[in-house]
Amino acid sequence: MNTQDPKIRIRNFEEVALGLTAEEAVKEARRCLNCKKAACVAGCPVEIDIPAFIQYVAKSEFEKALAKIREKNFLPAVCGRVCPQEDQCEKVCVLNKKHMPVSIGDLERFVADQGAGRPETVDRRPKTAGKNGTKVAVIGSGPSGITCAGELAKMGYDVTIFESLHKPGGVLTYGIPEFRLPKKIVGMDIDFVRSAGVKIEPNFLVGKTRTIDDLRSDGFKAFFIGIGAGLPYFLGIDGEILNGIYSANEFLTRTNLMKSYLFPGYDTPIRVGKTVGVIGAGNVAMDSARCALRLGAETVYIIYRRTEKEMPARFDEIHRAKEEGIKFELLTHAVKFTGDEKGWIKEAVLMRNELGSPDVSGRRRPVPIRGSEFTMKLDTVVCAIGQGPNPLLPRTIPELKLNEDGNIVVDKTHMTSIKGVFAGGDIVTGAATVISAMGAGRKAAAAIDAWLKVCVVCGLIALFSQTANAETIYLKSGEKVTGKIVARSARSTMIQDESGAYQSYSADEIREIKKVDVPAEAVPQAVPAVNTSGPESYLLESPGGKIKMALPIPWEKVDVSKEKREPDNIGTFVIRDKELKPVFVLNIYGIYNLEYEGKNTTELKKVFLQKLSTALKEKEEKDINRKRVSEEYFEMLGGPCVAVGYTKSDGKAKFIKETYCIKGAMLYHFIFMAVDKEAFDREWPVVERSFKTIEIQDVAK
Amino acid sequence: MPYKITEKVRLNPVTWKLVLEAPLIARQAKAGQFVIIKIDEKAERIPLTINDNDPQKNTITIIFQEAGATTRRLGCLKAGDVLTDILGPLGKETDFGKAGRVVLVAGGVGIAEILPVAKYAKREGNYVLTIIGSRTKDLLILEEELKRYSDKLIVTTDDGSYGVKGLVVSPLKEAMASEKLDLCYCVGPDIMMKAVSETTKPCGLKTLVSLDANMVDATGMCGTCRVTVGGKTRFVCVDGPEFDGHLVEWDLFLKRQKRFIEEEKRAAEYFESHHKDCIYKR
Repeated sequence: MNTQDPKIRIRNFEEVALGLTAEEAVKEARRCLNCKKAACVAGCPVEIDIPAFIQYVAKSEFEKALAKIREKNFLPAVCGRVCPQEDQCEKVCVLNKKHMPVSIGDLERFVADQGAGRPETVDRRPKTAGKNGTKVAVIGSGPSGITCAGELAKMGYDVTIFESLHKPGGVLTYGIPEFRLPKKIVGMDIDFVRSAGVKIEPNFLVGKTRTIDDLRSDGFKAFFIGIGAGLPYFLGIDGEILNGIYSANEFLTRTNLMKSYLFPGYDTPIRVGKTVGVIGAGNVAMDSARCALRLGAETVYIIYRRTEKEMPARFDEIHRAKEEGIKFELLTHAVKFTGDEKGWIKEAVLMRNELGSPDVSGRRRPVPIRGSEFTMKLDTVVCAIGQGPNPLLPRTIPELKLNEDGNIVVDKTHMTSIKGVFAGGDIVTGAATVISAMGAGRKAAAAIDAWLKVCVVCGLIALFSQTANAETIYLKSGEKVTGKIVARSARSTMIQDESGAYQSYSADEIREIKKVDVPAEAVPQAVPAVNTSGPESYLLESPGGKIKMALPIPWEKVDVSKEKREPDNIGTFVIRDKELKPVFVLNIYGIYNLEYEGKNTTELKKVFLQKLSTALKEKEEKDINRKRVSEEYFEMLGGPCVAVGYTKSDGKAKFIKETYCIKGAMLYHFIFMAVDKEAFDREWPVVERSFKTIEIQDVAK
Repeated sequence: MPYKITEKVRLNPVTWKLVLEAPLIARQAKAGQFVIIKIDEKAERIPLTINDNDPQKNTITIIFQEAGATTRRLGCLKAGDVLTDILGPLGKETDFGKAGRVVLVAGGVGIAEILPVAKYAKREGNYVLTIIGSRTKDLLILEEELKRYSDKLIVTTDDGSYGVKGLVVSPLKEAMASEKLDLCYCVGPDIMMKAVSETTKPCGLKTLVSLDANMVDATGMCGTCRVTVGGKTRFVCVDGPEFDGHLVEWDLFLKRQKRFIEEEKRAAEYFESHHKDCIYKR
C-alpha cells in the first residue's frame, strides 16, 4: 500500500497509509483462492466471512462486500487499519505458505472507506430484529462496548452506551493517533452503530454520575462493562513526578482527543522538547514516538529493555517509526530521572541489559549489566510501559470479583461475579488488541441475550432405551449419511454423523440402512456429570435430581429446522429462574408453579399424579399410556416426570433449540426454550403461588 | 447533550457564578466534589468545584475566577448559552463527619469552594470557625453566605481595606493558640495551602487541603494531576481532591503546577487576539 513520504508526514497528522485504489483492490481480491475451508475466517476473532467479502470486491460489488463484513464487524474501517492481520487472518492464509498472503486488512479498509461520507440509507442500516424493549447498559464506548452494543441492538435490545469522555470511541478516539486512524473514520463506524439504534451518552461516568444500582432502577436489565485498561503504569523510579514526563495515556489523549497539536487554536496545551525519550516498545510507544515527532521534537528515542525481536509493536508500526527517523535504544532501561531547579526533566540515567533466561511470558528476561549506567539528555519522557485496569468503577461495586491485578473476573460466558453484569475487553484480559476486545464484545452480547432469555433452562423430552449403532443410511435422493444411529422409530431415524451433527430422516426418505464401521471419534461420548451453567453448557437435571449433567451444546451442529420427527409425548420441563432455581414444571397439561425448595419428592409426586389424573379424566383413552409411562419414569428419575406435548412457540414460550445426548445406553432428547420471564408471568397468570400450585393453561393448544 | 447556563452573576470584577442545567450531577453531587467543564469543541477540559446543587431545579452552581484563557472564555458566556460538556460529580466527597471544632481556611476563589464544606461541617454538627482572606475588599466574595454556616467568621485582607490586615495565617495561629481545634480544612491558592499546612503541622492539627490541578480526563486515566503525598504518587482527580496537607510534598507540587506556564501565556495572547469582541461585550 502506498504511504505518505516519511519526510513530509513527520510534519503533519494526516494518515500515513494511503489505502488501495479500486483497481488495486480488485486485483488483490482476485488473488484470493476462495478456499472451501477458509482458515482466514477461523483466524479472525469476530469471524468475518472473509472469502465472501473478497469475492464481492473481485466483482467490484463494494456495497455488498461492506454489508458482508458488517454482518460480523461493526468497525471495519477501524479494523482494516489497526488489526494485527499478520498474526490473524493473513497469517493463516493459504497463500502465505508460498507467496504473500492476500492483503485482507487492506481490502477490509478499502471496502469500509467506500462507505465513507455517505449517509446510512435504510438498506445499508444493520438488519435488526423487532424491538423487544429490554434495556441493556453498555459501559464504555471502546471497541468491546461498541461491538457488544451493536450486536445487542441487532437482536432488538434497547441499548445505551455510557461514555465518560466527551467523545465516543474509547482508545480509538483518545489513544490511536489521527495519522494511523483518522477520527473521521472512527466517527463513520460509530455512526453505523448508532444507525442500529444504539444510544450513546457521553459525559457519563458510571459509578459517579449514576451507579450500576441506579441504572438498574432506571430499568436496565443487563450490563456490559467494557471500560478498557485505563490506568497508566509508571516505572516507579526516582524523578517520575518531574515536569515533562508524561504517561502515554496523557500524551496521546492530549494529542488525539484534545487536539493539542492545534494549540493554541485548540485550548489544551502539550509541551514537547527537542529530545524525547519514549519508554517501551509496544504500539502505544510507537504512536507516542511518532506523535512527538509531529509535535516538533528533533530527536525521538524508543528506549526498550529487550531487543527488537521481543518488541510487542506490530511490524508495520516499527517499520514506519524507523522510516520516520525514530532512534532505538535497545537493551536499555531507565534507572532514574533528574531535573533542573524548576522541576523539569533534564536527563535520564539509563542502564544496559543483556538477555537472560525466558520469563513467564516466554520472552528472555533483560538482566542489567553492572556498571553500564550512562546518562541521556532528555527534555520530554513518555512512559509507554502498559496500562492496567482503572479501579474507579470496580470500587463502586464491592461485590464485583477482581483478580490480583485488578482485572474483572468473568466466566466462560463473560458474566462477572454479579448476575446479569458482563464484562469484556482489556478490563478483563489486561491491555490487548482492538480486535480481541471486539471479539469479547460480540461473545458477551450473545451471552447477554441468552441470559436475558433463558428463564426456561431445559427440558428432558424423551429417553430411548436403544443402544446406538454405527450405520449408513442410504437416502432415496441418492445421498448417504454415515454415523451412529442414535434413535429409531417407525416414522423416523436419527443419526449422528461423523462431524458430530445430528440429522433426522423420515421413513419415506430412507431407502435402506446398512451397518458399517465408523471411526471411534464419530461415536458420541457420554457427557460428564459436572455442575456448570450458562449458555454454552447447560445444567440438566431431572426434577428429582437423580440425573444431573452438564451438557455442552454444539449449537452450530444442531439444526432444528431439519428435524422431521414428530415430537415425543414423554417428558417434563424443569423451568428455572436465572439463579437456576426451579420455578415451574411444565407438561402438556399446564405449567405448575412450584415452591420447590424444602419439599420432598414424595410430596411433589403426590401433587403431580393428582394433577395428572385430573387432567387425564378429560383426555382421550390413549393418554392412559402416558400416565403409565410417566409413573415409570418418575420412579426411574426419582422425581415427577410426566408427559409433555409439543412445545413449539405459541407466542408465550419460544422454542429455541433442541439436542440429544447419550448417557450410557440411553439417548436423551432435550428441548431448550426461552421464555421472557415477565411475559411469562403476565400471560400465564399464577392463580395460587404455593407449592401446590395451579394449572394455568393448556400448552398443547 | 448541551448544558444550559440558566443564571450568571458577577461576584466581583473577575469572579462569576454560573448556574448550569445538569440534572444527573445535581442529584448526585456532594461537598468536596468537582465537575469537568468543556465549553465547546476546541476548549480544554477544566475541573471546577461544585459550589452548590439543586436536585429540584436540576442545576449545579460553579464559581470561578477569570485567570487563564479558558476561564476568561467561560466569563464571556451569558445566561442562555450552552456548554457542550460537563462530567461529574468527580473526586471523593468530603467525609470528615463530626470532627468537633473545625477551622475552615480559604482564600481568593477558594472561598467559593469552602462554602459547600462549611454547609457540610455545620450539618454534621461541628463547631465551625471560618477564616477567609482576600487581596482587597472589592475581591471578597460570599461573606454573608459563609456567616450563615459559621459559628465565627474572620476576614483578612492583604491591604487592610476590610477586616484584619494581613494573611489568613495570623488569625489561624491566634485561633490555634487560644482554642482547642480538631480539624483544619483549607482551600485556596497553592502557596496559601502550603503555608497553612506548615502552620498547623508543628502542633499536629490535622489539615485537609483541597488541591486544584490541571487535568485531562479526570477519571484516573492520564495521570497528569499526580502529586506526591506521603512518598506515594496520588492522582488528584480520583484519589483527591482532598489530601492530608501535612503529607503533600508541596515543593514538588508547586513546581508541577507551573508546567504549562508558557503555554498559558501563549493561550492568553491567543485569547486577546481572537476573542477581543467578547472582552468588550460584557
